[in-house]
Amino acid sequence: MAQHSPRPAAALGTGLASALMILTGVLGITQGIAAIANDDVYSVVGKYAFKLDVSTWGWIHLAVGALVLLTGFALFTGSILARAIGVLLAGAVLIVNFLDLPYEPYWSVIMIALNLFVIWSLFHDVGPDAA
Amino acid sequence: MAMADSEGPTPAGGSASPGGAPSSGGPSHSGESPFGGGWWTGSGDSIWASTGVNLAAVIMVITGIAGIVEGIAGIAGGDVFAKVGKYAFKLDVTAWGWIHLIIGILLLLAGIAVYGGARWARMLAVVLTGLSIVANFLALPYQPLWSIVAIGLGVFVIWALFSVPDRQESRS
Repeated sequence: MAQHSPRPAAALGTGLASALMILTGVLGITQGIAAIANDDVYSVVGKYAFKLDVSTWGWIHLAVGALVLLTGFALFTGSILARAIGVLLAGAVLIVNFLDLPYEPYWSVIMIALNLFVIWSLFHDVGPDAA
Repeated sequence: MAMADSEGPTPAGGSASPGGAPSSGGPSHSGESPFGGGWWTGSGDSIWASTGVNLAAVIMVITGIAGIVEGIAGIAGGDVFAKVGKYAFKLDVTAWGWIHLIIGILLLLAGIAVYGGARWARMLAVVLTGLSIVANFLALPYQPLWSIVAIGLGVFVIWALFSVPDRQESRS
């Protein structure tokens, strides 16, 4: 990034982060749609400190997923602000998926792993021009 | 890939063997990367320049074959798939099978194209792999563990596709 050598900001450096954020954004949106439709793939959870209606979780997934998708596109500009927002959003998605894990564990596990990778990719440029 | 870190600069255009003697000279040429001319600088002649592309291509072919197998199992309607109740993305197991099969074949072909090192092939491969991940995410309720494996493979493919040197943008 900026404090490195005078190398120009590599388009490929944030390409991985962009691709991953667009991907996790789409996945979050589909996760949200399935939850808003109150599907049977979500298990019924009894007493739970963070219990919310499945539809409510769905709207949260949908809204955050849309923001992640937009940030993924914003990353194409190489903006440092987009990176910072990306880290915050990916962290938020991670925590949301941790909290609603009892409803659909597999999806949440996948989303947690993917968003960890998103955060990593936001801190590490990859590709030929990134050291 | 980790091996490359210990190799030192590989002479561009030379017939350097991967296990060549450690370089005794200074690592940097003026104006180049401080790390010298290794695979990460994208000099197309380096043996490492193709290693990353090959990695992505190999995993793509494997992921494609896995998708084809998954698709055939779905089309055959095996009992390995769970019964799913109400679901926004509910499709017949056979329909999901065809989707997996077609995406798997496309991944296999794109993986072979990536082997050629063309830039368009890599961009296409990223999009196709993303599609494969989304399809597996949606089909997860039917066979969760297959989907998890396919998604993991896909993420590895995307990483490999972005982490390889771009020969067209060689700076040497």
